[in-house]
Amino acid sequence: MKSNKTARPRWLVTGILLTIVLQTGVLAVEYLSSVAPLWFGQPVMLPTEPYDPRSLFRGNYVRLNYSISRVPTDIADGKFKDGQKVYLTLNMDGQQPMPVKLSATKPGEGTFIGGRIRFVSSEYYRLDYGIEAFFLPKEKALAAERELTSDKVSAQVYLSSDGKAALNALYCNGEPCDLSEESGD
Amino acid sequence: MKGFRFFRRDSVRELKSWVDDGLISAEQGEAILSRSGASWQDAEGHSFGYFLLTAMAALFAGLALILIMSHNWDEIPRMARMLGLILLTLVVNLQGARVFLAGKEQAGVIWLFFGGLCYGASIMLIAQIYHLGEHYPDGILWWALGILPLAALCRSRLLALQVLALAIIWMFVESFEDFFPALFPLFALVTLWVSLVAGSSRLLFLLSILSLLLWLNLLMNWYLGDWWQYHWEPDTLAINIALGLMLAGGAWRMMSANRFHLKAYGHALQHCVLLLGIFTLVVLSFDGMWRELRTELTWSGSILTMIVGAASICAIALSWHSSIFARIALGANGLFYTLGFLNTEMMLLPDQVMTVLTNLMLVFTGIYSIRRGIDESNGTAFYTGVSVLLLTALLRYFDLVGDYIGGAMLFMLCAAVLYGAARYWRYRREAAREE
Repeated sequence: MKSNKTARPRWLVTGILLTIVLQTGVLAVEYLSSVAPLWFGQPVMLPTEPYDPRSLFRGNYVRLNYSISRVPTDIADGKFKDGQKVYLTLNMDGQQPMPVKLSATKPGEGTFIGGRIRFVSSEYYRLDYGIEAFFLPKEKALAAERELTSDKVSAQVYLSSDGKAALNALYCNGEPCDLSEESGD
Repeated sequence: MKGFRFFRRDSVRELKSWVDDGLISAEQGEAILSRSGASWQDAEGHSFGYFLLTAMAALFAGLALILIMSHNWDEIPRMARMLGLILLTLVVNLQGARVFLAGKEQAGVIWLFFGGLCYGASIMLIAQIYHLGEHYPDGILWWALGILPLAALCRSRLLALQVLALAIIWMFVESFEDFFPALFPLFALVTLWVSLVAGSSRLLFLLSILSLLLWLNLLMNWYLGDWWQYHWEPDTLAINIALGLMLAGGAWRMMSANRFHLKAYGHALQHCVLLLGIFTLVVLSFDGMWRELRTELTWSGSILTMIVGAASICAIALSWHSSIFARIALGANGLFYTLGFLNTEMMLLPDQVMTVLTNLMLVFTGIYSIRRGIDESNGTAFYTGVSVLLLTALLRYFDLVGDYIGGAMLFMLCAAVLYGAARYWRYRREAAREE
């Protein structure tokens, strides 16, 4: 490609600018869909067990395993396949949300969370809800891995009306977790 | 003209001196240059080295940016981090667009390439800040989609390589997550188009073709898994052989084209298909492989025979304007595989005979490559041929076909074929000398 001083066709100028707008639009949609449950959703505390891996693009994170990640097959209203999108209805009356019903269609009422089947056995389904990764600086993630296993840890999650979940914060024994680097030393 | 590519600058300078000395006219010089895709400007040296190193610098800077972002600066407010990176993406891309549209295409493409890395880092940063964990391959898909129009609009090989690399990563991670990457052909076809219109980039051309081949395999496995999960069956081997035969025919067709870039692509594709063909023959040359293939096939052998047979005819038709040796090679391979799959249905020959025939095909491939290497001064083909013969000897010495006597008979047969080929070669040389 050599330097070319001739005037550029209008379609090329428009195309390049539209692509830049597209990129900005993608980032805006990603941002807005991420914050929408935090702005308009209902907060729920989910008990969790953390451990620490690394994502190649996003850095270190604490991997969270929830009690509702394993759902018994006897509360499912049908047979589900690996990878299928499902909704888990939660009973919010007790100290922690309890799974009530697993369905392929969106429930008409109640509190529910959308997820995807990741493993199928005869006794239970393993589900992902998109809230399994809590990103932290490396030292804090390592500290979290060491410290949080001894505490009773819950994740503060916001649920939007369509079942989309957004992870907001981690709580240790009912208080926001102190994940300062010193706490892990 | 193969050497011309590597010594382009020296060759053009030499040609220029011939024109200056009056040995040939300027028009004749230009005609010679056009055969190899060169121009008089090549004598002055070009800025590809500068472009390549700057692109590498941009890549390293982009990787640094992603790692800095991965550090997760949670002391800085979310909004500041996010707006900072989005603003950087916008500024870098707008600068790229400004420089590109001002006519400085190389510099503009480097900016846009770096802008693409900033854009990807922004996607990952938002995912990091808001702890997005749901189906992470989507982030890579949107990254590749965001750069795809720039690669097509600018017809840039660098941006196309960036898109294709991301799309291939996405194809793998999407498949590992047990989803089918249905959108992949969109990326590979656009980058293939860029490689055809934007000048010579054999890397981009081959990557586009081979990744499409990989995607077709995923599609077949997805189909065999009832469009729900991946399931491999040996039947896909027949489809791959059919595709390989047609690609080989297409490669010969490209080699007989007038455009220099198409010729170069044809050579690269032909060599690549040859290597894949050798690999297939090596796998099938082991004792018991044809028996296993016959017993494991789920589709009817007749259908597979028809597919391979039809592909062989297409391949020969595509290579019709090439040398007789191209048609002989394609015809021999087509006939061998058609017979092989027909045999899985009708058992015309014992499986062990098919194994012997496969080993002989390897020997023929070696002889053919050596002939091509010497006749066309093609070092790659020559050493490929020698390597195939040595590999066949090594494999068959350790992995006997039948018992010791069977193995020895196979070696004797190969020796007879090789000696016969050598005698035929000498006969042809002497006949040519007498003429």
